Order: sequence, then C-alpha cells, then structure tokens
Amino acid sequence: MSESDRTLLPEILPDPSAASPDGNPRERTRARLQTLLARASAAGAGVVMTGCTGFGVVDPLPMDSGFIEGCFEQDGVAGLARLTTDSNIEVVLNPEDPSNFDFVSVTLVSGATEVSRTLNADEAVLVLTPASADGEVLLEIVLRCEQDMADGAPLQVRLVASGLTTEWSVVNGSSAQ
Amino acid sequence: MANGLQRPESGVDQPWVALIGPELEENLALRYLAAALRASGYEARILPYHEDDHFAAVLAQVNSEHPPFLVGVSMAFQWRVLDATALVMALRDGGYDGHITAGGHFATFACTELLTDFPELDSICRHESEPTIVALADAIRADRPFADIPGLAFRDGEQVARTCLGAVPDLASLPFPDRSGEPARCLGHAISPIVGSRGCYANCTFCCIAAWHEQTLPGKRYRLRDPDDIAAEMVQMQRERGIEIFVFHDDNFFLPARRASKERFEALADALERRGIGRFATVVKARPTDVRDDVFDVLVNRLNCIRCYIGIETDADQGLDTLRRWSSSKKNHQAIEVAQAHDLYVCFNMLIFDPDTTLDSLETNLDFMAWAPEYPSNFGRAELYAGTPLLARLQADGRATGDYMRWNYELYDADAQRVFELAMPVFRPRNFAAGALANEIMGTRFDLEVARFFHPEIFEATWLDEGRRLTRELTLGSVDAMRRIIAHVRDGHTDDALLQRMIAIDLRREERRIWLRCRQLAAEVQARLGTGAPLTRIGDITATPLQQPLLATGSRS
Ligand code: B12
Ligand code: SF4
Repeated sequence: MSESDRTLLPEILPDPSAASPDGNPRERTRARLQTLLARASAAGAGVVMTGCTGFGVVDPLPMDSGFIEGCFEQDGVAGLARLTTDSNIEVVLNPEDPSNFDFVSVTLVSGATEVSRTLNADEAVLVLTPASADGEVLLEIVLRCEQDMADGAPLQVRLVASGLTTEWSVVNGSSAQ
Repeated sequence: MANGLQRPESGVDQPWVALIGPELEENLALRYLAAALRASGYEARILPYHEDDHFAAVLAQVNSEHPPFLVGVSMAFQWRVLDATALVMALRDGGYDGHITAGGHFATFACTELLTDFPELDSICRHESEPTIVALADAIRADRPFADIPGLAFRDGEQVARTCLGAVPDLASLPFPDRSGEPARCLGHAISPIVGSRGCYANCTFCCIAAWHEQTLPGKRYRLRDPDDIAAEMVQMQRERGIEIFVFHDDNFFLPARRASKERFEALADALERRGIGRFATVVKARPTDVRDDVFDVLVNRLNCIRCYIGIETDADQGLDTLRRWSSSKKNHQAIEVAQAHDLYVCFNMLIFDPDTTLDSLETNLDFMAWAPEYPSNFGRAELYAGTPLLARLQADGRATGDYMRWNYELYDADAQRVFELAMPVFRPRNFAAGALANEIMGTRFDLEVARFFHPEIFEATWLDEGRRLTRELTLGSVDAMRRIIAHVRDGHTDDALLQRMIAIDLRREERRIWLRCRQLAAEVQARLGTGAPLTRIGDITATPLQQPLLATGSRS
C-alpha cells in the first residue's frame, strides 16, 4: 500500500437502511460478495478491509456489533463514504455489475464543494468538502446498461456527513424510503 | 502490506494447500499451519486476504489451472466473518471443487452453524489445528473417511459430525512458524511476532481465549514453551531476518505466580545470552495482577521490554465482577504505578460498557482514564463472542439479539444504554474506524520508544514529553466528552442530536490538531534518525517551511 493510500484508509460507515442485520447469514454473505466483487473490479484501490494495521496498535477494540458495516447499494450502484483525515469526504461509487453497467455521470447537486473527481466506467471517486458541519450532500448518479446502451434514470442519493457519522439514503431510487 | 510474502514457485503439478487469511502482521496461525504441512511433505502457500485487492488475487490463484487440493480459510475474527464466507462462496461460484476447510476462534465455536448454513464449506478444523490439517490433507489425498480425524467438524449427510478433540499439540515439537517474506520495520528496525505460550490462566467472561482453552485444558487453560526453545527461535529470526523487535502475542506473557514469572523471564534472558543474541527489544501483554516490581525489573532490564499492554478493561467493581476480571481497582492503580516507576511505556483498553454498566461505573472508569492520561488508552463495549460465558448468559436472559455472526445487546440499565447510544456514533472515528486516533497514537508512542531504546544518543527527552502531552490531550478530551454525555443523560435533557453534533465537532477538531502534531513529531524523529519510516502514517503531511528540510532528509524504508 502506498503512503498516499494509507492516508485515505476507509471509514466504512453504516447503511442506515440496514440498521438491523438484513437477512440471514447466507443472504448477508451474498450481499457482501456483491460488494467485494464490485470493489475488486475497481482494481488498485488497496483498501484494507479493517482498520487494524498491526504492530503499532495493541489489541484494537472492535466496534460495537450494533454498527453494521455496509455500504450503500441501490439500483445497481454501490457506494462507500470515507472521512479523510483532513475532514473531507471521499465518495467511491461502483456499478454493482461492472460487466454490464458503466457510469455516465455523477453530479454533485448540493451541499459540498468538489475537491477532485475521477470518473471511470467502473469507478467514480469524488473528494468533497462539505459545506457545513451538519450538511447534507446530494449526488445524482447516472448509469448506462451496456447491452441496450440506454442511460438509466438518474439516481439521487443523499449523503449526510455530519462529522458524527456518514449516512446514505436514497432520494428517488426504485425502492426509496 | 507490511510483509510481502515471496512464495516459492511451485512445481507445476505438485499438489498444494492454500491457506487464506489476513496478513496484517505475519499471521502466526497460518504460518504455524504452513510449517506443519511442509514438515509432512505438503506444499503450503499463504494467500494474504485483508485488502480489497486480495479478493480477486486469491480467487485467481485458487481457481487456476493447478488448483490446490485443499483450501484453508481463516475464520478467527467473528467481526470479519462475512469476508471469509463471501470468499468461500466466490470460490465455489468460480468452479473450485476441492476441499474447503476453515479454522480459528470463530469457526471453532460456530462450526455447526457455519457448516449448516454454508454447504460450500466441507469441514472445520476446531481449536489448534496443526495435527488436524495435516491429518485432513492425508485423508483427502488417500481418499479416506474423516471420522477418525480428531478435532474436525464435517458434514455427514444432513448432519454436522464432530469428532472428539485430540491431545493439544506439544508446543516443543511443533516446527517453528514459516517466516517467509520481508519483516515489517519501525524506524528501520525489523519487527516480528512470536508466541511463547498458548492460552491464559485467567477466565474472563467475555474472552474467547479463556473459553477456548477451558475446553482443551480445563482448569489450567495455558501451556508454555520452554524458554530455551523460545530463545532458539528468536536468535534464528535475528540471524536470518535481522529481527530486533519481538512482539509477543501471548495473551498473557506471565504466570499466575509472581516467582514463577520472574524465574521464567530470567531463564529466557539467560538462554538468549547463552545463544548470543544481539541487540533486541520485546513487547508483551500483562494482566494488572501480573505487574509486580521484581518481575518488571527482569522484564525491563533483561528482556528489554519497550511496551507492555496492560489489560485494565475496567476499574469499576461492577465491571470487574461482570467481566470476572480477578482483579481490583487497587491492583489496576498499582499496575500503572509500577510501570511508571520502571519508566515503561504501557497502554490499555477499557470496556466501559458491559451488560450491567451503570452511570456510576461509567464514571469510575472515566476517572481511571483521567488518572493515567499520558498512557494511550481506548474504550468501547464488551462484545459477545461465540463460545463465551457472557454470550451464554445474555442468551439465557433473552437479551442477545441478531444471530451467531453478529450478536448485539442492550445494556440492562436504560440510562447507561442511552449514554452508549449517544457516545458510539461520536466516538467511532476516534476509537474504532480505520486510522482511529486512539489507535494511531499508540503507533506514534511506539515510534518514540523504538527511537529511545535503539538510538539513545540521538533521542531527545522533549519528544517523549510531546508524545505524553498529545496522549494526555486526547485522553482528557475523550473523558470530557463522555462526561458531557453522562451529565446530559443524568440531567434528563432530550436534545440528543444537538449534543452529539456539538461534541462531534469538538472531537473532530481536537483529533485533527493532535493528529497533525503526531505526524510532525514522527517526521522529526524519522528525519533525525535517518534509519527508516516510523509506524505513524506520515503520509502527505503539509510541512511548515521549518519541517520541510527535515522531511526531505528523512529516509523512507
Ligand atoms: C495477533 C492478533 C491480532 C493482529 C492480527 C494478526 C493477523 N493475523 O494478521 C491484529 C493486532 C492486527 C489483530 C486485529 C484484530 N483482532 Co486480534 N488477535 C491477535 C492475537 C493476540 C494473536 C493471534 C495469534 O497469532 N495467535 C497464535 C496462533 C498460533 O494461534 P491461533 O490464532 O489460535 O491459531 C490456531 C488455531 O486458532 C487454528 N487456526 C487459526 N486460523 C486457522 C485457519 C485455518 C484454515 C485452520 C484450519 C485453523 C486455524 O490453528 C492455529 C494453529 O494452531 C489473538 C489472540 C490469540 N491468542 O489468538 C487476537 C484475536 C484473534 N483478535 C481478536 C479480535 C477481536 C481482533 C479484531 C477484530 C479487533 C478489531 N479492532 O476489530 C481485529 C480484526 C483484524 C482483522 N483481520 O480484521 C479476537 C478474536 C475474537 C473473535 N472470536 O472474533 C482475539 C481472539 C483476541 C481476544 N482475546 O478476543 N489481532
Ligand atoms: S486476561 Fe485477557 S486473555 Fe486472559 S482470559 Fe482475560 S481477557 Fe482473556
């Protein structure tokens, strides 16, 4: 892992829609597998699956089990938000099925200024500075299905990064709550 | 990755075993297993699996033209089990049709549930598995039934069969663990983990180690390696890999009796001298009851201990009782004082939340942290691990929710539960998340101790002062925020969101300030020593004009 990757170790934060573990162990494993496959297709991330990096830290404490590690997964998009050490938010989005879908656009609608972005077919990475400590960030994501080359309907997601935690919610997805 | 494993190229058709698991440090579990397999004539390769990138790499290596005949997946960590089960599913989805086994703490206790839910898994090696995995490999190669392999759980028709546990492996006859790959380094000094014992004489209710060894060695719960055997391994590691810092992962480096500990440490120091070890330092763990003056004299002066983790866990009588710590507040305080008298760097964790926590016990624990603020500490909740008495108790009380992969619970005391719910979200980034400062500051303090021990001629006392000051600021900041939350609950306030927001802003601001100073401190140490990178993640530090030249001269390893 390079030094620069190391400064961006992920804050893997909970999907509030999964406030209680969704499904049985097999279903949760299947969901986890989808996430791993999506992330694996975005090669080179070098992201550690856990916060622990060994020798410096003795007996790291686990998070409480009420905290569900997860990332946002909706309408074919998987998202992760990581708080970076300089208090920006790094948003990483992947199509859940990169062999069939790719990104058309990711638009920052409101709530932050954009520090940087990389948009590839199978991964979008945005670094954002939230406008306020308790602000909401709205993003609009458009995916295209490669088979019919039609752009999907824009998926609007809300990211609440209050400095406490970072939470995703879907504004207009097919199963938006 | 700290230690890039260099695996020997296999003979094209040589049957091999894949051992898959985290290699955050040298994974001693997999490395002991690899050594045992090799001693029995099998080729064993460790495939690291703790980064996203590893997932695809592991799949490709297993589902290759020459797949292993046996795959062993580490399921030590309950918290990470979905990563392991997802990998097992992916292996089968990808067409792997060899034998898949698993092992480790979680898999051992949850073997029936795992084998029931995951037909992709063929078996689970329970408990210490050096003999089990070798016997399993033999049985697979010879197409023999599994029923006479001790310590195995496997699917037998619709049922999960479990064979009896065999004798625990004789620590003296186990081959030394595989040490392939480059060791990690701190400021240029090579570090490696080692174990001198297995198990722990104590019997805490929340600990799966106690539960584990109570099953294999009831009443005693620990086994020791001979000091001369440990010394032989250390000297070999130093000669072959240049290891200077030995991190003992023994759950408890000490024996129940003070004199026995002292004699054992003397014997180890004598053996090391006899075998001509060069400059070395050690890192160990202790229970508060183990921290005794005369024992620590030997530990610090002859075994060159530079860090001791002391398992304080709780200072409240209630917590000591719930967690069955076999300790007392007096012993906790004495432990810190003895370490202080020996000028030894210690750090500790506090399980300030347990099922029976009250606001009073919370306050007692915060007082303890505030009493020893310059020693890095972290705090959290006692979690429910498979196999532990604490889980059994909460299950019997109907308070354990979720399932075997992730048990959750609410504290009995509603006020304490409310404090827990208010506190955890604001403390997640500080205490638990990747890069959590409560953990990272331990790395910075470790850097300082390595510099102090190995480079006394360059070491500046002001560095240690700054390290202690930063630790104190972090600890007292945490304690203050926790006290605000407790007062909020005690006073019956209801504006929870506002409180959390205000506290979070303060904590994040404080973390940024302390983190930057930690990085500056580590950068200065690195630059002055010029021997290699520290453990502190210096990263893309924005250096002041004064630090810029320092950073430029600091060598990176
Ligand atoms: C070193 C260590 C670490 C290192 C990791 C080193 C690595 N593997 O990369 C660090 C500090 C990074 C770490 C981190 C964590 N750790 Co830790 N760690 C340990 C410790 C102290 C020593 C492990 C060791 O080397 N033992 C020596 C070997 C020889 O013994 P062993 O592990 O038991 O292995 C034998 C058997 O278990 C079995 N076996 C083990 N694996 C496998 C795999 C297969 C395929 C087979 C067949 C058999 C098998 O055979 C082995 C040989 O006999 C143990 C406590 C302990 N004594 O085991 C805790 C322990 C394993 N950790 C624990 C925890 C909770 C964590 C964390 C989850 C904490 C957190 N903050 O989240 C993290 C998770 C890391 C991750 N992967 O995500 C708990 C696990 C409890 C549980 N049931 O889940 C333990 C048991 C501590 C405790 N008392 O509670 N940890
Ligand atoms: S002292 Fe530590 S290792 Fe021993 S039983 Fe208690 S928690 Fe487990």
